[in-house]
Amino acid sequence: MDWIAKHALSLTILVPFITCLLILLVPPERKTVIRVMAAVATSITLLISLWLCFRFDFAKGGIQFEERLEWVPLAGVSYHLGVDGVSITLVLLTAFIIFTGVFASWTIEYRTKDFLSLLLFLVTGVFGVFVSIDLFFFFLFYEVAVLPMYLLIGIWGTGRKEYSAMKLTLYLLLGSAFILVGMLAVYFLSPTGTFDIPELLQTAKFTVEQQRILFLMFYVGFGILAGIWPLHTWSPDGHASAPTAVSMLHAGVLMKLGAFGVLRVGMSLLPEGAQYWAPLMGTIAVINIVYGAFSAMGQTDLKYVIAYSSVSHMGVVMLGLAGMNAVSLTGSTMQMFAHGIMTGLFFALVGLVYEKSHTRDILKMGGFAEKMPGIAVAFVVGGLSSFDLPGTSGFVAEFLTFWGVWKSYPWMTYIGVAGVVITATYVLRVVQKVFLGKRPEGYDDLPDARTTEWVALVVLGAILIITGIMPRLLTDFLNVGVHDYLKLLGKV
Amino acid sequence: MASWADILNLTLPHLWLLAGTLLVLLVEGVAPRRWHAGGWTAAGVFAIGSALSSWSAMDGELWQGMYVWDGYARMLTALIMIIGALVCLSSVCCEEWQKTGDRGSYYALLLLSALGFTLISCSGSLLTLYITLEIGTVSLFALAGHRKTDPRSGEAALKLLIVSATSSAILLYGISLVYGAYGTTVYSQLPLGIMPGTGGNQMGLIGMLGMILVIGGLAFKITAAPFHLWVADVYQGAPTPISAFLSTASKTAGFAALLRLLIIGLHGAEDVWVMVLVALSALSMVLGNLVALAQSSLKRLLAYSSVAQAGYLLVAVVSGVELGLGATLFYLLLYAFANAGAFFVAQALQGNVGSEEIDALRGLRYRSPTLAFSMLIFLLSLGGIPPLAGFWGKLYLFWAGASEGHYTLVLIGAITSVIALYYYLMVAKRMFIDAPEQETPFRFPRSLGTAIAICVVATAVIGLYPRPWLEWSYASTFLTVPPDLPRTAIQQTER
Repeated sequence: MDWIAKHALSLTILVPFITCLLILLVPPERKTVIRVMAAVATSITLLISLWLCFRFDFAKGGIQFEERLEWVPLAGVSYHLGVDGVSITLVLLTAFIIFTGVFASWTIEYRTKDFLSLLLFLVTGVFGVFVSIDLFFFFLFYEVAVLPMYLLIGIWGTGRKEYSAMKLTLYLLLGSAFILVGMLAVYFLSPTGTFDIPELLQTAKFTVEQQRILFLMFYVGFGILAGIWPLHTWSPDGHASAPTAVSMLHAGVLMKLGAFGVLRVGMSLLPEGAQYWAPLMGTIAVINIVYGAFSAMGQTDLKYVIAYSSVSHMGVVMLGLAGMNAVSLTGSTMQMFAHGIMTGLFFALVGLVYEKSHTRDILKMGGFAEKMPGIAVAFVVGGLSSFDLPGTSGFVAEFLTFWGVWKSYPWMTYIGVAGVVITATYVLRVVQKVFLGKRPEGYDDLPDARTTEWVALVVLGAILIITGIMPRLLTDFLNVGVHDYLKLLGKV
Repeated sequence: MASWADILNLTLPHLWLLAGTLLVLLVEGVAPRRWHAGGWTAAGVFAIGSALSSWSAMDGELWQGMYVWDGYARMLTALIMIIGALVCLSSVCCEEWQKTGDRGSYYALLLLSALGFTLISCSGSLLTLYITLEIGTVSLFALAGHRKTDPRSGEAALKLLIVSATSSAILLYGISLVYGAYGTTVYSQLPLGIMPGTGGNQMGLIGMLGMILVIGGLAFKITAAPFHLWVADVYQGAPTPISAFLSTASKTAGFAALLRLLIIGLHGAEDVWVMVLVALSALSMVLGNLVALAQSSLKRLLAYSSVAQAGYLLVAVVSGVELGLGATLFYLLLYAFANAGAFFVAQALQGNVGSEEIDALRGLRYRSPTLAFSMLIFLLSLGGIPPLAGFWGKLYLFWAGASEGHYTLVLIGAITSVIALYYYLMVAKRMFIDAPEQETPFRFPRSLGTAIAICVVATAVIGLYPRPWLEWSYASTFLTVPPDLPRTAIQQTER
């Protein structure tokens, strides 16, 4: 038990990885066994994440649950894990999304074993990224997550899956190319030659010119992953083509990784560079919000609507980062969590609707609420959170963000808030077209969600409302984390 | 004057290869054909040779530094012999021509070519460099043309002959200029250089021209762009095991020669050759990867990808410090396994489908899961995806490049790696996502399977546990370094 407590973060990486290997040993016909194994593994990671949250020391702040193992081949590399107030919420987010994601992919019959083992391998990488505080391992885990994504979309996807899989993979790797170069530059410019982030924060002093160039590198590299305009085009294609669980994980978690990377690596290591580029970041974020929302409005494919709404909402996250004050950063990091849960819920729902009605074209749907009331309710909950109805977590997050940004760049708030109105338009349009109105011919025996399918709906929907009513559950963590980052930015 | 015992000690692996050549000819003449005795003997000779070279403990120079036997030579000799053994394994009882053609000459020539290449890594003077390069290359002409019924094989042989003769001529001209300017060809005695501290350019125009010609001649060998135009045709036409040998052993030898020449012989003129190599490197990475995108033949694709790989290797070479040297050696090691492995898969494909088009790989997952999986491993390693060997290799190459401030080059490398991943993944897509045209399972000889398996295991093991291999590479950087080798780079980083 003591060992477990000391290595909790390693366990979040190891449990999915070991289960992934174990699944490879099970004969492919034993599909239920494989599914149960995946469900157990993800429940364990969820429990570990919850346990971490309970044990988090608010008074102490900083990086907690540290684990460190010297790792020789590349000098200055150590297997160094730890979470701060921000990344712990993201670990929790990942745990929730993958837990529900496994249940959302319960009905996959085609090569189930390969699917779930690849999914768990992907999750290994995702957890690894959030808990690594060594740049090198951060990068390593990031790369580990890329390949399974290609195969998952390419084999189990829908629509133009091969095109989308390739596009997504190449964009992400392009981002990692910038990150790699920035990372090596940080290593060689730092006085001690290290990849260790806490050590870099203490010792490294970069000149203003260096900071400006390096921050741009990291901003572009991580920004691609966060879906910044105009490098976002991989995201709608990729998310629309991916199988449900992968869309959930990718839109829900991995895009946050991009924003988090900008915060942790870019802004905290290179504060002066960040301040220099903040107006650009903010402007692009505003474009993201408005452009993403308009694009979502123009889609007829249900999954593309959600995918573009992610682009729009990620704009809010990036806008909050650009604001660089306590309120906007809290809003931004809260939006990471809120949007992760919300978009996970949406993709799970779209997956269900598609599975039952065999269409994603919203013009061909209508009146589905009558046949699938549970799905309709969950969709409306997600939708309300999407356009910031008070009482949902989306409201808290976006309100804080816009409020905070007002203090730094008021004009960005004016335009950004307009995005919320457009969001309301397309969300209500989808609700109306799909769930209300007259039901077309041929949809008379649509079933509602069944057994395992409820898990994602109930869990994610409940989190949206609970964190909306009691935002303190999250903001307590975030305040601690944001305080640390503000200190690094020299704003406290 | 070295004693005979010393000479024997220092050149034992090479003498062993020479003896092995004769042995193979003898065995192939005596043993029944169906035993494939020549191939197995040659593989054994290579295996023993690589063991001999990696275990020979003695270091030393012979003939006033013309022949140097040190850790560097030892590692590269062992590596080239391992490649040779794999190529023999993949050749045994495989190809059509094996049934009709005379196999004795094939293996004997292969051994001779390997002898030349292994000697390159030991050559401490421009003269030995030239002679050993010729030994290695001349045998390859005949090998490339060994698929006698196929006109493309003949074309490959002729093309290789013309290009090699040209590059040798350039090399030789460069050597004569260097000799004319300085009166010596031994690396450690070349007084080249804008020596550190003295400021002025003491190298002279003739010496500089000679040096650039020598580098140009070697650039043909390492298939760096723009000296790469022969690569695709030759790799495509030659028998596949020979393509594998050309793309790995020949390139290793080229880098072996280049590194020793640059770092021992021309260290004083670093400013000049760094400029030349940076250009070559950037051009190779960009051209190699872009042209590879358009290929429909697997062997041509691998050919252009190997041009790009030469570019990546040069990123570390330009850093010119120990860090870069070790990184280059490490990358050569893992590149050999991944690239040779990919060619072996192409060979299995050719044997089964009769074509080496990429489209022929469709649905390989259903026809031969192990082969498809192996190919995936090789491609991902070449593309630099963790946790495979190529990831560490590329990381170290870029690390070395960045340590000397070549950030632009590293950025070009990182971005072109993404392009490379596109065409590698397109191959993976055909194997894993597309449906097969036929369902018949693949059949290939066990010897070829063994060769592929060795490559897979090596690629995975180096990837999962890179430490000993890295240590070996870094321990194999030069032992006989002149004491005044400037370490300006290291001093800079310390400052």
